[in-house]
Amino acid sequence: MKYHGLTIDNTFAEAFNMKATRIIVTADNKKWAKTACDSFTGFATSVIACGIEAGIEKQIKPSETPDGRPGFAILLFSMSRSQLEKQLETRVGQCLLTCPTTAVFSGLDSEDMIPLGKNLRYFGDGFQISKKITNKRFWRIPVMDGEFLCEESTGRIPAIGGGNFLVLSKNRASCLAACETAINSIKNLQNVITPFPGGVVRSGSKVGSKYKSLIASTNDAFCPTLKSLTNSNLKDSVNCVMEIVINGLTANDISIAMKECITSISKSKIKKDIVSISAGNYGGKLGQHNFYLTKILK
Amino acid sequence: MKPIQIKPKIRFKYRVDMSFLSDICKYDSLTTFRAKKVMYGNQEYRLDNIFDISNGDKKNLVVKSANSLMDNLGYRLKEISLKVFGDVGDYLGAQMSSGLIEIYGNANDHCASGLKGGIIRVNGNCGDYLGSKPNSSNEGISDGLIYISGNVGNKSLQRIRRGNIIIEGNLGNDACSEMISGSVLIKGKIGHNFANGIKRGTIFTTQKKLAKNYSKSNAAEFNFIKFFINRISNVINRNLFINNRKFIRYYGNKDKENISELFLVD
Repeated sequence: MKYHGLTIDNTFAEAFNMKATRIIVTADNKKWAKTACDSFTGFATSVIACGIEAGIEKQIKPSETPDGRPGFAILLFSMSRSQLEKQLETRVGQCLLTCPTTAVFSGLDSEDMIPLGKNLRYFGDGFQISKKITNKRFWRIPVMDGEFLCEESTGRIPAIGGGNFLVLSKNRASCLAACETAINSIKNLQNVITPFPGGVVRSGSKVGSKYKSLIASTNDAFCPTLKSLTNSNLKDSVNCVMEIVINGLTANDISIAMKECITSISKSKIKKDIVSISAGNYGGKLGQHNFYLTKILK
Repeated sequence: MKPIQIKPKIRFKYRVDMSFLSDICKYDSLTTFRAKKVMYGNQEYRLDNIFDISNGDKKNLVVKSANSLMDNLGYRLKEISLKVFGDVGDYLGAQMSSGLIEIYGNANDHCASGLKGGIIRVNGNCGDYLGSKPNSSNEGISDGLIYISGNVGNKSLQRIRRGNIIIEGNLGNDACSEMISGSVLIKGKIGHNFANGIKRGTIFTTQKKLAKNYSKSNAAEFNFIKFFINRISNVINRNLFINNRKFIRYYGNKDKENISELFLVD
């Protein structure tokens, strides 16, 4: 189909059920809040090897954060509750507790709560102080710059990970520019993150490998250098492919984000170099959610 | 939906146990509730013989023309909002576990005795034994939030375990004795023998004399204080007296098993 002059392949993105949580990180100023969040969301691109997928969801104004300081919301996605718990605790302990002036709060209420500062409080070596306000408990852990304030637990909810689309382009520069345009268009969209570096993936993967020990390997059908060697999905004019992976709290959130991204590319000048927009799937057999590009863009 | 309004039909001479109001949600209809019998003096009366009870939302109650003979208002209250116009008797909100009680008048003794949760706002003064230990328990308040706009009597807040208490007026003698934990904010003067045998907890006060049993800690900025003020202000829906003030932190003496903290408000 043609969408604002952009060719859209008749295919779908295949996504999976995941578990998600949101935390709010604040600090004395935006610079340190961002530094803490960057550290926290580092090495959290894919559950394949990082344990979780995490990213900064949005910036929050001081007037909207729990302690009136600049902050950011982070979304974390994982395949299992235990992995989410483990990664959350480890990352809060190593990246937020250690970062000057920060505090961390729950960004989600749910019946299913997972520990945020519940176990981290023992770092206080008996000097930690608990404060319960209405139904929420907070821990004050003494540290060298004063106190690290953290909420005891945060909510965990079902979510979806792996919504995606592929940008098939004539050259690398235009492909990257189109992806940047797309990522910028959803920078402030709520309930979604793009966990990969800068929001863009260049190493899309397929399930399995010729090497038995690997569970995933390069998506050769979309590698331009392998066009003549494999059963390629690429036309002759395609010389570069990049993928944008979107995780969201609901299917609707992902659909909105995908539409926003593709629309922004279709409205940019760069679209003249874009051959088509496609999506990654496994034949619909693995994931529980299928996002049909043509349906989303209607 | 409008709140249910409860108004006495007669001028009370004897004390009335108002704890029946907390059970209102257990009744299928207000007709059966009105037919409930309560003791008044040495006789049983139907509720509708001594109270006007309007129709409305069972989770939202308003008591009008209340007086200090009405005891046990909000006793073991759960998920109900109760607004009272006038003074109230003893044991207001005793052992309440959730919900909101707002009083536009004074409360008598044993207010919030054994409070387990919820919010009590008294726009007036409070008698002795605020947050006292209920019978059969060795702890006072175990959770919840209390806001008193006026003064509080003697022997209040004994052995409180948890919870946040804000007192805009003065606090009487022997308060906060054997306090286990929790947060107490007092704007006015404090009587003698305050916080005797305190173990843990946080106290915000303007009274310098209280700091004599404490060691000066620091004047460092605490993320917690700003957050705490914001949070409590939102719950009680008004600015706290410690807003935009400077604090000096004092710590108790570990040898005396007092690891409570005291914030002296500048």
